[in-house]
Amino acid sequence: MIGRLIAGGLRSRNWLGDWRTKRSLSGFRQFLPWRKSPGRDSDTTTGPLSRIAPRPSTDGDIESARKRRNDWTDLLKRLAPGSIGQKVNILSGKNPTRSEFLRIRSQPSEVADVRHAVRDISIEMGFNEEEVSQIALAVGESLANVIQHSYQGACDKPIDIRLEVDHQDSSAILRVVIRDFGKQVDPACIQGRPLEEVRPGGLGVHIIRTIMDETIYERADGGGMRLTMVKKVTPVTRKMNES
Amino acid sequence: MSVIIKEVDRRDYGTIVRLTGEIDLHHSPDFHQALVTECARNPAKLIIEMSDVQYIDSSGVGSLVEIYRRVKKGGNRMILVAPGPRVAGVLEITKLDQFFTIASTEDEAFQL
Repeated sequence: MIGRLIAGGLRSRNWLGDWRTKRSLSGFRQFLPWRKSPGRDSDTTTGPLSRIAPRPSTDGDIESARKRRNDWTDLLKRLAPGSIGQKVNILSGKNPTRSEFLRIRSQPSEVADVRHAVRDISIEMGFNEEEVSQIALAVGESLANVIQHSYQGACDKPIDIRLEVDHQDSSAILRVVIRDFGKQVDPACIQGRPLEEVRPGGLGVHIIRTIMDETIYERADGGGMRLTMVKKVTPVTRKMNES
Repeated sequence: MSVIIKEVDRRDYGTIVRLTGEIDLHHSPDFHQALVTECARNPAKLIIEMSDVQYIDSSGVGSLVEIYRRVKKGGNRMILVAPGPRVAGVLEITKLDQFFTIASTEDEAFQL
């Protein structure tokens, strides 16, 4: 399984090796990169999205990032269908949901990191290869829309990303919530354009709505917009991937 | 040469632009500008080889549409070659697979 691992400005093509320096992610430092998810029992300082948080580029951090990756992998394995008891033990709560939170800046260069992390999580959840690519695309389009439309290209505005993995019996649900603090618009006006009009632009919303099972745009309390996207792993998909 | 434009192969009968990497909002401006530069040379065929493209979003697809129009306006042709499954999936979702001319190989593109 090919995955990407990001930590402290380092990224791996394959999380078992091939480390290479990519770039500094020092831009994240001016924000609070990680916060405890309200009402959740899970520790939000681990998991794929946490690997985007800024850390010095040292060998020690490579190792700790590798360990965090393994922790996340192990957790998802233990949360596999049929292990309900373990779910409760691991999360010490009633809701077997893994929740992660990240705040990034509205820089196009940061979108790829989030996209890769979402891809990793989707792979671990059991989505097939096509679905993994599509989910990463939907998340990438959502963030691009925030940058282009909500913030009109400004690169220093905050974007909050919440990512939840919810296991339910034989299926699992990936929920991605993207919140901005830009201008509010009527959610009913957020529509994809007719594809018969072949021209650049305006395809993002169509792509998102086509890929995801649920897509909800809302005005967020305190300003800005909130987009909630849901994709469900079907038992059929899981079975195909396991075989 | 940008990360996205791997190689530009200018021949008498057309230009092949070989791409690599992920074409997203971050890279699209450079990608678009590089293709605009090639369009300005007015090749009879602009062949865009995409087998090594791992990701393309609506900004990248939008650039392709805009370049297609430029090429067509000049009376020339633009052909996409060997888009991988991820790129093909995006073209399918946006129904642009019915809009662009797509070839399996560079040789096939030259014969079209």
